[in-house]
Amino acid sequence: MTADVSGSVSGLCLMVRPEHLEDVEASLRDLDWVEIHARDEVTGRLIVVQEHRTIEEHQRGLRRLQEIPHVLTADLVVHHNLPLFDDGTDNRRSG
Amino acid sequence: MKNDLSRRDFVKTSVAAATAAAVGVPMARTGSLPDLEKGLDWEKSVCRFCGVGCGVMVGTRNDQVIAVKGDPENPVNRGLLCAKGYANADIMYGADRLHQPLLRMKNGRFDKQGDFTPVSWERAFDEMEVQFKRAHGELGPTGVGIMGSGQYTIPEGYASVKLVKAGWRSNNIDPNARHCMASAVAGFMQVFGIDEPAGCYDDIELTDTVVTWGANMAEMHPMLWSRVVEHRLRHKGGRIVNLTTYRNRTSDAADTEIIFKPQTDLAIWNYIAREIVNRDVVDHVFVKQHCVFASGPRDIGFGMRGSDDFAYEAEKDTQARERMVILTREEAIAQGLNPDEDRHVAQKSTGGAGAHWLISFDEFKAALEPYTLDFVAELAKGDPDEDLESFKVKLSLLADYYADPDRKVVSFWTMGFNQHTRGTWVNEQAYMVHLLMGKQAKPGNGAFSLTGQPSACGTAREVGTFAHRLPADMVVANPAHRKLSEELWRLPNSTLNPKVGSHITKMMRDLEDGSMKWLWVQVTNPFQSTANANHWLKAAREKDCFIVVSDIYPTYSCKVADLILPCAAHYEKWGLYGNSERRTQAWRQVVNPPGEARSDVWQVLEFSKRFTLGEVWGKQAVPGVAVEGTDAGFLPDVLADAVKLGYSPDQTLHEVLFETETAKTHAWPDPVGADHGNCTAEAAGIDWFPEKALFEDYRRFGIDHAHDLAPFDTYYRDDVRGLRWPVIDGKETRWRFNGEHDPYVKAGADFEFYGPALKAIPQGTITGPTGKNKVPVTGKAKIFFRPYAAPAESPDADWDLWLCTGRVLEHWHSGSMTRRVPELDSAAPRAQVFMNPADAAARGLARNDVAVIESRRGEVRAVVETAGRNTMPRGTVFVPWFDEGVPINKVTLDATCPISKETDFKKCAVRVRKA
Repeated sequence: MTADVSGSVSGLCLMVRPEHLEDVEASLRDLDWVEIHARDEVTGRLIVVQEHRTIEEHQRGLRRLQEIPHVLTADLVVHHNLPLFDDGTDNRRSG
Repeated sequence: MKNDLSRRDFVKTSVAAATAAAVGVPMARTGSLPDLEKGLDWEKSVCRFCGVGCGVMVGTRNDQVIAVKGDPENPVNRGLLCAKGYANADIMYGADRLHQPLLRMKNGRFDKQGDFTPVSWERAFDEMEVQFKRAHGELGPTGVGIMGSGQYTIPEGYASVKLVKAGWRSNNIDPNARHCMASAVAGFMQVFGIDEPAGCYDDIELTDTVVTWGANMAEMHPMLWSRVVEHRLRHKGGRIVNLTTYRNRTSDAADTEIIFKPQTDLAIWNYIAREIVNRDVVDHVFVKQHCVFASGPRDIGFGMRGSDDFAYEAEKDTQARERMVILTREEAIAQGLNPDEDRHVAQKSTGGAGAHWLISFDEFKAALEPYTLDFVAELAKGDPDEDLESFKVKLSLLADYYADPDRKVVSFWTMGFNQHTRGTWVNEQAYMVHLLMGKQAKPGNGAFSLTGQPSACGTAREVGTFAHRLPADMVVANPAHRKLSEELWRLPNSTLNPKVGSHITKMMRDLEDGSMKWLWVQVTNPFQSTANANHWLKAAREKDCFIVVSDIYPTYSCKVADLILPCAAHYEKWGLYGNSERRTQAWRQVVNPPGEARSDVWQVLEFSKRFTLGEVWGKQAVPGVAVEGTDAGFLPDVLADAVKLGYSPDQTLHEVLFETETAKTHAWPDPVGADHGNCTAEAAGIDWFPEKALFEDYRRFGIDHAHDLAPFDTYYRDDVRGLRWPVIDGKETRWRFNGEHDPYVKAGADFEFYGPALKAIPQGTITGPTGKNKVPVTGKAKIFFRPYAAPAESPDADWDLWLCTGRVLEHWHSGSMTRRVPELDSAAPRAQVFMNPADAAARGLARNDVAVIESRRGEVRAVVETAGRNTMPRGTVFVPWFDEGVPINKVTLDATCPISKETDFKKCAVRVRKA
């Protein structure tokens, strides 16, 4: 596994009290491995995608998201730990 | 390696779109990830882990499970999965999967001190047979046993219970589920006369209030918790209250968090009931029509051994409480006694802890009188740094929620209630409050016990893999239940043993005292999971006993085994599980097991070939058993009656119990399994379908007994994602006992608590029964008064901290599977001791120091954590039990609820020092 490969991408739904959405979004913007893709202001849900080089980093990232103040739940919805590129490189056991 | 940014962007956008679509958040682009999933065969299945019962889609290619995703069609999890759920594939592919039987050998022979040596299945079964027959010959049916699991598939559990009870005439089969939810079972049976929840998960979206009692749902039932939180965010008037002995992740989304002192949940419930009664908001119509009031003995001990013959010296003071208790002042007050009088109470009702009798409403009301807000708040406040007045405000608010007739409430609980020396009582108290308010068995209202394991309900409870049970809520002690079971199993009269067998902790004690010498461990890891483990580890290795462990990995229990059998993992075999809401779900085998690994069903069926009827159905010694017409202490010889049924003494148990003419009508291959293998049938070389035959054999027990299941094939239909029993005319039941929803309620009734067990009890007063004549309470639920009682062991000057144990999100139970998944292992690589920073500092400890956690029974070392997912109040430490490197059950106490026999893993006294 080379260091410059992005190998783990997952989509998460974060649940947040609506009044704290902006606080949480600000926290997320400080993390360079997370992108915010959608928000639902009525139900306090954010759709985010996190990208990591390894599954281990991905798991640590999930934990960090869960620990952001005002995040009530961080549910992993889509997660691909198959090689993302076509040369057969498997990022599953690279930690 | 291509570093194709446009492709990365495409993938991320697709992932976001798929995520948004799965949870129903609007997004400009919707869709899935077809290009990432192409080439995989997808199949509906079920998660291997907790009792929530999430649906998963399993993607396979080239006989390997490649991918797992949430099943969007499954109403339980609606496409979501937790971190463990995504590891359903990876847990099968650890580098050290067991591929071959391993027997301890020296010089070519079995030797208990020998090294594990690969052997053939034939050699493995040869040794199992020899050792079984030696133990059975010496001790009879009570000298052998099986420890099973709430992770058994339904066919697995049924095969084992049939072999043990009908074949070996033993009742020594008990699951790890005893440690998990036996108190919930006892509560259901005592209150309703039938097991399992009235309601279902639909209650989550229908309620106004969720109260969690000793249930860290955010980590232990995460997908249900997501539903709770989502509903709370949508429901402006909704409220969540978390009652716990330390702050955990469930508190993050709670509107109110109540930190209480261990064991005082008993007092809090009585405070709520007192408020309901004194505010005169009891639903008198509901109570009068559908309930009675009851109570029972208080001097019931703590489920420990009756003597200290096997106790370490340091254990003897705790152990003495099994015989004599000196009540605390608070306990005396809570029990309506004068605290200034002698508070010694001999524990005389340890043998009849579950007895109960009718009391009047006035006595019930009087018994609640000591539980004032002031008294309970002083007793129950669990955080010494919290202001008492603030605690009172929260207790009062909690009472307001329950006592408001217009507010719907669901109470959820798991191990904090069930693993409790008064676990049955505290379960009964939840129903007490819900029944008083008529908030039970109604949409959005109910007391709801969540299970910990994927088939604790479906297999352990419904199939009846307990020492006292038979399928469909029947019990071995009931002659009518034995008779019906003997008819269904086509056994001679009096084949079944009426004497209740050893529960799982007692089996450990039996190994230690020599009353059991042969043990088969299936789908569980009891030498890591059973409290006070130093005793049992030593017994396993040093006593005259033979221990077989069937597993997919070399677990902690394998280390003390004499024979290890390699198993097929979940998606390598056919199976069905039953979750917490009575939903039975099924999956097909999608890949083959590795090497010589075999399904548990195959192992049981194959071993049953080793016994002829003549060996096990003759007269058998069972200490303490009494069967009419037979010498005391013996089961009768039933061979002559067996011949009348057409059997021969030379026939094997396999022929009589499993390979029956009916079983063989379920042919393999079967259309339901088109394009799928069946490792059981293939290894056995048979042309019938063992899992289907076992399920259909089992299903007969529940039909017309309020446990109706659908036919096997129904659960495999593409349009079915499980069904909640009773399933009548193909229709599932969402709210039992409710005339609008449950076909078993008699016509015209709004409610009927029709469970048949324990529905005739004596009349009495709060202090005891007043006669022996039993009064029928048919169709009624019982509202119990149960007092506060102190735990078996509490902190004192020498052992100054409470120890609580439990699970973590990332690991399943003992970690034998999840610790082999690098991503889960790296997320939670070791068990830590969670401490309050002040407690740590007082002992010269800081975060990341190594500490020794020590009790009267043993010690372990763990790294100190003063932050993170749990925030401990001063005086309490928490250690998860998933890590075999931190075997915390060497420290815990094996006290149990005397009614349910479930161990209290949530409280014992320890001290912590720097290593």
